[in-house]
Amino acid sequence: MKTVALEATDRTPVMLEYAGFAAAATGMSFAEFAGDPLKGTDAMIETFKKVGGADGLDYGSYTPALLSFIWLSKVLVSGEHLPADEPWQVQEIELMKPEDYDKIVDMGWEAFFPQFLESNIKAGLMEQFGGFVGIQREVLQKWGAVDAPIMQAGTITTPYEMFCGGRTMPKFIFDLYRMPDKVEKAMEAAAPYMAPQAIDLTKQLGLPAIWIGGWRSASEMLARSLWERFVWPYFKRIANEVLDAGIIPLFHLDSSWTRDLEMFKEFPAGKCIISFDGSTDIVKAKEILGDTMCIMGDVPASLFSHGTPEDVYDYCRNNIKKIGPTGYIIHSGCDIPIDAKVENVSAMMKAAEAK
Amino acid sequence: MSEIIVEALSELREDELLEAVRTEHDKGVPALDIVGQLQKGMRVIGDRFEKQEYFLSEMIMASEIFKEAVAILGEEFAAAGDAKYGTFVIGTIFGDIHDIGKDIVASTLSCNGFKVVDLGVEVPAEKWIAAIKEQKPRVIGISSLLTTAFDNIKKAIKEIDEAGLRSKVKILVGGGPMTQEVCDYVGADGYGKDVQAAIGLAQSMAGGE
Repeated sequence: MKTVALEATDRTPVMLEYAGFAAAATGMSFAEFAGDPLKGTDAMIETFKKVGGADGLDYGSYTPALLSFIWLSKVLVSGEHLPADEPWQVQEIELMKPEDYDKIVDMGWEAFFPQFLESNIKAGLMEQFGGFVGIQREVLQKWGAVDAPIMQAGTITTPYEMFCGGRTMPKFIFDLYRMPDKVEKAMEAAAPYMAPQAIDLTKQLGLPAIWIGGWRSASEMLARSLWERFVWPYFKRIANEVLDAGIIPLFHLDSSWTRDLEMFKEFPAGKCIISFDGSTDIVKAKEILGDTMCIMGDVPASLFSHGTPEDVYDYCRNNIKKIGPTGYIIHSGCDIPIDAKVENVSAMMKAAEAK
Repeated sequence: MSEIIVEALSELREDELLEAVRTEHDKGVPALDIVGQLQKGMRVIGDRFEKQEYFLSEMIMASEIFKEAVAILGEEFAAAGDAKYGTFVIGTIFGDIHDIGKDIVASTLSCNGFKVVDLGVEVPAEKWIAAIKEQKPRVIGISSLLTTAFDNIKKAIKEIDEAGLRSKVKILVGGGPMTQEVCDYVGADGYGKDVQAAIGLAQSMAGGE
């Protein structure tokens, strides 16, 4: 927490983020990991020990169903749609139709969202996800037993990301150009419902942060004028709701956000984490945001899977020099990939502990 | 012919562009000339993308309205366009179902002088080999979003080589976690870090007419 508050610490901390990697590292099938989140947590804990531990983790358990909630998309699940030893994947097909924008406004998001998920993605999905939420206390107890802090269990994104996933990216882009007012009205109808449940859950569990994700809404993906209208206002609104609740927004930003880093200066200093996947210019982020928020990232996925421990070590040491020592958390760029080598993951902690 | 087609396309003024294309087509302006103006508009868009004045959203929208405009010129043109760079075979490697990035690149390439043959997702080595033999592309593009699929790309390229086809085709790779190091590891000829880079590389690999 001192690092988030931009205070000095005796060394740079390391946070781990992984799901499927735990299945691969422990020899559990992806089907078993995906199908039983408590067993999946056990695999994550075993993996945590295998890599030599860290200062904490983003999340302590996982279900692929979560992806349907934030992408409005089907997920092909191991053991269900795919062979048991193949990792789950989001299937991006057009599930949301242009007429759904009006439906969102007419029905209200609270009514639209669950019926959309149940009808278009999977019957019983709400119940399944409710079950996942219901085990979170037990998940935290398991991690508590190995003294591993968990940052968050609440996941939020913007209406942009949900609609983009549901429509598919190209069709959604066409909508932004051809029916912008309709899209905006639907976003306004959905926005009040993005954060509250995650905030409630986070408070109940006593966790410090909430994950706020952006990937297709990245700066490099769309024109500044579109980003200013359809992304930022909702990002800012959600983040401020989280901040008002006394919780740390953990901005998980995939693809490049370099163009719009200045906007994040609007947030209060020492209260947020901004996490990059290797696409954003992290040095520029430090220049612009170093006095505002803690930077996390950005070891590339390919280094974990196809590099050496020395590659990962050197990358982290370089980042500590460029971005640290204060206000920086060593972290993978997004999830540690499924085929990461254990010794490569361990190299992050070695880099943090080196003098 | 006025520059209105170039301007309307490069400014993404869809209705104005389609109206201008219809007008020119009705006046009897040769379809190839109209396509030439459309491609000029696409080059303006590409330049702006490289200068970071335009972003992926503009590329996607431009490809869409380019295709709508070409469709006005008739079916045979919509199918073949002006493929001065020849055929480009694209697909997502086996073990991976992600296709959005691949679709965007395919769409944009088809507006930039290529006849694109899209093999879809989860494409095994034998399907790449069959496509190279049948379509005789100058360049193929293999896409993947998963690090777990890198070895599949390596395997496919090895099998293309074993089939005696490696020297006949240039291979581009791309996708979120792709890097130059991975490109070298799998044995490809180049990697496109974004759609415009992919177009530039593909065009230079394919050569001219």
